[in-house]
Amino acid sequence: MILLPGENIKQSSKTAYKKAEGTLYFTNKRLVWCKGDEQTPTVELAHETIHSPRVNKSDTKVMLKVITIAPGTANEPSETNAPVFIWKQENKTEANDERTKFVTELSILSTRRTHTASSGQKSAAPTPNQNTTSNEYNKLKIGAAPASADEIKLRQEVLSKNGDLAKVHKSLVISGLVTEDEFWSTRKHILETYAIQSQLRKGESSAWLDLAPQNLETGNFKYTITPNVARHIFKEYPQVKRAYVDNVPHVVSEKEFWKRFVASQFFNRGRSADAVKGRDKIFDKCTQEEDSAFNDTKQINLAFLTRLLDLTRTEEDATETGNAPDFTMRPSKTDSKLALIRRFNHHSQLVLQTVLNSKRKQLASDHNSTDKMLEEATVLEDLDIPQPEKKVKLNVKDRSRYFSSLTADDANKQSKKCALDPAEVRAALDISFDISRPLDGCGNAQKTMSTLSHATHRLTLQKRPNRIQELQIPDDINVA
Amino acid sequence: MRFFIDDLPVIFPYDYVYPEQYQYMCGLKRSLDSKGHAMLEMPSGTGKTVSLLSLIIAYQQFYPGRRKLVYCSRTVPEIDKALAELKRLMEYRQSHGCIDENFIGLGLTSRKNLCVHPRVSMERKGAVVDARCREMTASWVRNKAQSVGNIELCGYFEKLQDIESSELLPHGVYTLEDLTDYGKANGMCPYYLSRRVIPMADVIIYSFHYMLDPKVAELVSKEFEKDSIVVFDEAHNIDSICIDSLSIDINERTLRSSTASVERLGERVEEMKAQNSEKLRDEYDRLVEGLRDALAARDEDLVLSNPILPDHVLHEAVPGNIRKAEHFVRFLKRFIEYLKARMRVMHVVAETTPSFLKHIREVTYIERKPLRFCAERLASLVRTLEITDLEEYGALARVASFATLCATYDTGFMVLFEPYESDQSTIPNPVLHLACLDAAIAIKPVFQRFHTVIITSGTLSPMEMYPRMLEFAPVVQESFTMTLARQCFAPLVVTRGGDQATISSKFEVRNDPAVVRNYGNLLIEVSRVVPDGIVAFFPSYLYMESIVAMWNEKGFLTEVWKHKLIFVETPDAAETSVALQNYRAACNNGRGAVLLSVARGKVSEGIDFDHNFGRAVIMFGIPYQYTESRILKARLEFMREAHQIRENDFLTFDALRHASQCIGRVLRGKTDYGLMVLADKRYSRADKRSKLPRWISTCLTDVSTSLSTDMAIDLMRKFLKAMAQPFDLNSQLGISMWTNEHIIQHGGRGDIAATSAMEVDQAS
Repeated sequence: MILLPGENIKQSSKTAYKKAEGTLYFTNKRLVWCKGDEQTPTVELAHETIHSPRVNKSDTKVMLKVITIAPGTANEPSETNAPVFIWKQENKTEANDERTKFVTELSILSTRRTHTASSGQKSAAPTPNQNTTSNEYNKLKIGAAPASADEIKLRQEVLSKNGDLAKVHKSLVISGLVTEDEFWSTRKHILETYAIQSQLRKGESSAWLDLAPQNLETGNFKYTITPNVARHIFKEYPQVKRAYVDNVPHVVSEKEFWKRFVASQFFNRGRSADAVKGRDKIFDKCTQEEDSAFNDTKQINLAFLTRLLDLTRTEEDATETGNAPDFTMRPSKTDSKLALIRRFNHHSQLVLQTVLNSKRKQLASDHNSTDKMLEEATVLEDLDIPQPEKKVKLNVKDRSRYFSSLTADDANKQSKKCALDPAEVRAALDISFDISRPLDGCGNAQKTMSTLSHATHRLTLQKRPNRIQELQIPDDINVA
Repeated sequence: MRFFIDDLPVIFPYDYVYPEQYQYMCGLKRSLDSKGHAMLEMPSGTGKTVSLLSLIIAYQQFYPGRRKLVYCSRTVPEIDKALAELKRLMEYRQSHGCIDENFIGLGLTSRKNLCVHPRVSMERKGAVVDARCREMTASWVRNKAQSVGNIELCGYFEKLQDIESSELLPHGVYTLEDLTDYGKANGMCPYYLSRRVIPMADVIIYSFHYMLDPKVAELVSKEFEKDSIVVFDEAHNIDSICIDSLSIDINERTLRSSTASVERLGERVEEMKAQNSEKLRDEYDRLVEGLRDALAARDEDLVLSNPILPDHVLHEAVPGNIRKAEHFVRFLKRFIEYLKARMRVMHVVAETTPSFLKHIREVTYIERKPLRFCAERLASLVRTLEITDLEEYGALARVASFATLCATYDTGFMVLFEPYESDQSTIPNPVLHLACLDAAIAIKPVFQRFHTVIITSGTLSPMEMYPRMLEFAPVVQESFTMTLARQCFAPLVVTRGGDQATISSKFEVRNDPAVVRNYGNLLIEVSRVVPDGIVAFFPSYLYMESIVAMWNEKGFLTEVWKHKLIFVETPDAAETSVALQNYRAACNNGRGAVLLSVARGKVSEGIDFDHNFGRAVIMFGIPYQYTESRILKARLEFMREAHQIRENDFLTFDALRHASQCIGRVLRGKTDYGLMVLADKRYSRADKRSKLPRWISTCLTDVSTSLSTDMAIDLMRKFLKAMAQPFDLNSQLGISMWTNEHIIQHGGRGDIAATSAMEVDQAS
């Protein structure tokens, strides 16, 4: 079988398909079946199109049916044309084992997809696309001659993504009209924009880890824990990770570990109390660890808090007086609900931290920032007459000369564009962003600005009908 | 801008003024002129504080007498904000030619918030900071240090001793931050500095407790002149604060630690007797003279002071049987043993203070008079024994105050003993409550002492309630509405869910699956429609916990997670602060967040959710108090008899002031906008609506008082779309924003060509 670039075979097995003998391959990109010794695949299913595997119950024949996703839908299974592979080995258990290998691979695939699809569909911030080839062009200097290897790679990617450009490229470069470097020298901005775009990463999904069990026909529950889910669990509950490292595989097997996890009180905290009873050494320890981590509020560093939000300052302002609040205003004695609430805060904080990185430190309250924050919190902006925007004044030393060249051009019929009123020209290009406020604190302002200016740059370029013509600067101007 | 109210020139630190701000200042001026009390309600977020300060400073500087302003606020962040406003106002006045000679404005707060001592300021607990501080600053420690070498004193405090108090602080306005910086730079203790500057200051800003809690008020508020102007800002809750400051709980732990403290006191007395009995004899002599003289001490030593005692009592001699230290110790022991015996009863006992005292006399032969002196006598003894670590004696002091309060007041208090926490619980946790029922007791001295006391808030409706509860007669009592060029807030009463089932937080139905589901769906829908921050309030902590757990189980929150991050208020202040900080970060970041909190909790008081930090606030249910509480029942009964306030009226009033306080948090200024969702069937009833502040209830239309979830969501969409349109600030002019010309148009006195304008007015 011919492998695609970057492809490797994970499973292979002799099977029959439509009564013909052949080999079934499962690679990291697709599911392939090749007839006999042929190299071209008869059946080829990309991972994205596979819905789920189905197996038959009977012992006589070992069969595997691969359900595909109906074209045009997000996740609807389509039974039509689903290929069926049959293992014809004499030894049925061996055949069964072979099939199980494929089934596990395929089910991991399908759970992973349903997971990303469900969180990706409606969520305000979908999961980061794990599969993106993370090309880091951020340090690439575009326009260097000769073009670096990275730049060539970048050019190729741009061409593959942009059909129109590829056509132009074909007609100009491949036919030999212009050289490759010349072609790109006028399209630097496209490369730069793409380089920036390729760096943009989607934030982490805010979705709460929700392990919903699958209801099996027998009335039992089934949890599917893929490595992805496990990673998620570890991140959410560092205690579980510690327990995993401590216990798997020398104390309990991985399967047993997860089985006990979903049955534990630790996992089922905040759910109805009667769901789980009984002790579990491993996870009771997790519960304790989590509680002690949460209860240890002394660890909270109050220094980075904004002063206006620091409730402890009010608490310490006067000695406590009065009767204790009635029991409806006190936290419940059973800790499970409180732990749930704390888990929420913890989770939200985790999600937020991935976005905010380490900008926290900057918030440390110095005098000036406190003053500024107080001012923001108290000033009523609309009661002040709005201040005119601060703009940098363009300082032209000799105005008469600046405009004379253009008026001289007026007589010259070669280029009528220059006849336009300079103010009008300027108006078309004048883009006044109010950059003073809304961009504050929304990530990397520098980067955003450069994206914006690239976009406007491209706009202005598109507005001009023919760039070559524009380059023909009338001689008079040079003279002037 | 500058304008006149009657003949008073007012400098207002903005270019325009909101009409309600102008009217508010007019009302304020009237009450200052008449030297009477006032109650003023002005919508939250319309710049109440700045109007207040502008007018009072103008008044103070223009008229002779220079009446001191004492401004009380609820929380430390609010003190911060008020100080910042004052600072800006004074800078603005200076730039407009006002000299304001020797003006000093500053805030007071605890040692914990001000301490600059490198070691002590690192302590996390306020009580520990206090104790460590006293160890270095008490007068006997300092005296001892002069003779004995190796005693650590606080350099910052020592520096203060050398300086004349009039030269301590250059004039100006000091925020708390400024004060600590000044203290650090000059090596002075900001805490004691602020306290020593009080007599010189023109404006003092501190929390309610400093005025209302007799233990603290004694220390900081006794020197103010009669004509000082006292302002209680955000005072909608003032009656609860009054009551709290005179209520005491005693449980078994308190008694255990008091027993230990008394033992230690006894040992110290014996020790001192063995060494030099002079001090004790001195004290005895002084106590014969009268308590007040015995306590005529340096302010930093005056640490355990008593709840209000009438002046004549303080000049009386202390009863003979507790004058001697060892007698007093024995007396305390006996009293504590009596309380311990009471704790063993297994049924609820509620009685009046006279009956409680009678029982004590019958059982222990302790008379009323020595009990009344208990707190003062303890303070005197602690000082004589030169004890600095008062943290250890906190429980004992509490027992002593309990005795004093019981023996001082015959009415307005109740002694309640509860063996169990709630009716359901089976594990005994006995608590002896001394519950103050009459809010007027704590605030009466304030009304009597000062000519002008101003009670103001965004939510004081119905206003006739406060004069009755607090027993005072305001000369000015006004409620202002919000003038708006565009309707920038929308109160929506949601009475039904999408399935038309009624929603309510009524106790019988609140855990009903339909209600839980509909509340959950409302939250999901709102989080889908509204951008940035959403704040949701629940009537009680218990309900929030249980409904959050139910939502989590049924998968409602999974939906919410898809749109927003979720943060929840917890009982711990530090933890909640962190959650709040993260909530704001999430709002700024664009991800958006939902904050779940409690209507009477820490978040609902004093945290603003303006602009993108709160585009919608949802009040799930009506935040009634727990009506089965015995203390509340006793209070209701007291109010019915003493003030003729019906139980239901008070409960609804109390619930709705908290609800309106919660929903008022979303607005600041007229460019801001926000949705206010009241999710309970009962809000649509007239008796509830009439108790909402006027500025909110006038915005409720017939349509918006009875909505189902989907209708409400539809209205929200429309509202948000309308608010997203560019808003021309000039359209506000004349309607919701006045210049000097508009003030004249409305019959006031502007500054521009003031005289000619007057003539025109008279001619017309």
